[in-house]
Amino acid sequence: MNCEEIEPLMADAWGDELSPQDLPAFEAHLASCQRCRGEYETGRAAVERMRALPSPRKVTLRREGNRLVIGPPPPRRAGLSFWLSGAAFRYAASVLIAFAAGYTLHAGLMFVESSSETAERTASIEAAHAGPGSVSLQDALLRVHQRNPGYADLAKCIIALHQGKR
Amino acid sequence: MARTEADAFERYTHEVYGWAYRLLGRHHDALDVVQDVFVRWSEQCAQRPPRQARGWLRRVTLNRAIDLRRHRRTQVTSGCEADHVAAGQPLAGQLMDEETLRCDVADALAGLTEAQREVLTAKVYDGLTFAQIAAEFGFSVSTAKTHYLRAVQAVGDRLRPRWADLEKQP
Repeated sequence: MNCEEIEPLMADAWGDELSPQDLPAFEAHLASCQRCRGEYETGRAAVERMRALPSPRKVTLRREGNRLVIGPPPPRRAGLSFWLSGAAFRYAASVLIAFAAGYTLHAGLMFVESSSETAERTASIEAAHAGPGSVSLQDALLRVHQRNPGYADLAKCIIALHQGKR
Repeated sequence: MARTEADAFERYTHEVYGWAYRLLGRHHDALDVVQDVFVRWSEQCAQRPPRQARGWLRRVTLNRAIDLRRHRRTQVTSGCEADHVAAGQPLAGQLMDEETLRCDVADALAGLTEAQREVLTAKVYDGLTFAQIAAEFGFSVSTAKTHYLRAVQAVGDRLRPRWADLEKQP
């Protein structure tokens, strides 16, 4: 390649559009021709210095009544990048854990409540089936409590019955 | 303002502002140019709407910014400093370098033909490919490359002695 053939490629090189096919010949010519190398470096420096000028701040349009006003952009809402970031995941995970803990606590309380109701009902049935004089309601409750020591409400119920008897 | 004019205003405001800001370096000067350019755009649309809105806006913006720079040359440095102080950016040497560079680039662009100036701006600042430039300006890719080649050569030749002087300074 001679200097005339290189000139069209100079624009491609300065514009970052030099094809891989042309690159070896272009570089080989620059290595051998001082004039073209100097021209290339001068043009490259000119383009780089032009690009070095700081980019302007972002401006946007907003409507004020029937007027369009130019100004700084409004604060951004949380976009997709926020939701894909680690902070968002941590936030979502903590909310999820809080919900799970709340649900577990609620379910546990409901279970204890329903268990005590079931136990009381069982005790009543046992007392009814035992017949009068054989076993009292509180004895039946006591048996149920012994079979299910986890029923704290049942224990309270027995104590209350005792107190009522006195 | 008619609907098409308002559309162009909304669509190209940031680009017009960007072209002006690159040459002027002052937010309020760039806004002045934006306003002036869109007033002209409105007038132009009333007569005959340009076929290539973006190309028309780029050409008028560059011309207007170069004119404004010539008129306000003595005020630009102090105004630019004020903008940077407000933004909390470094001043002194770096700012002077930036302003010197801006002056050099604006002077160099002013010395080009309109077509060279537009192609150079579209390539360097808008990041368009030669094919995109050719489509936007309505000429061939090789013509776009030739304009770019001549523009870069002219800017380089014009600024090389000055940059050489600056590099010699301690």
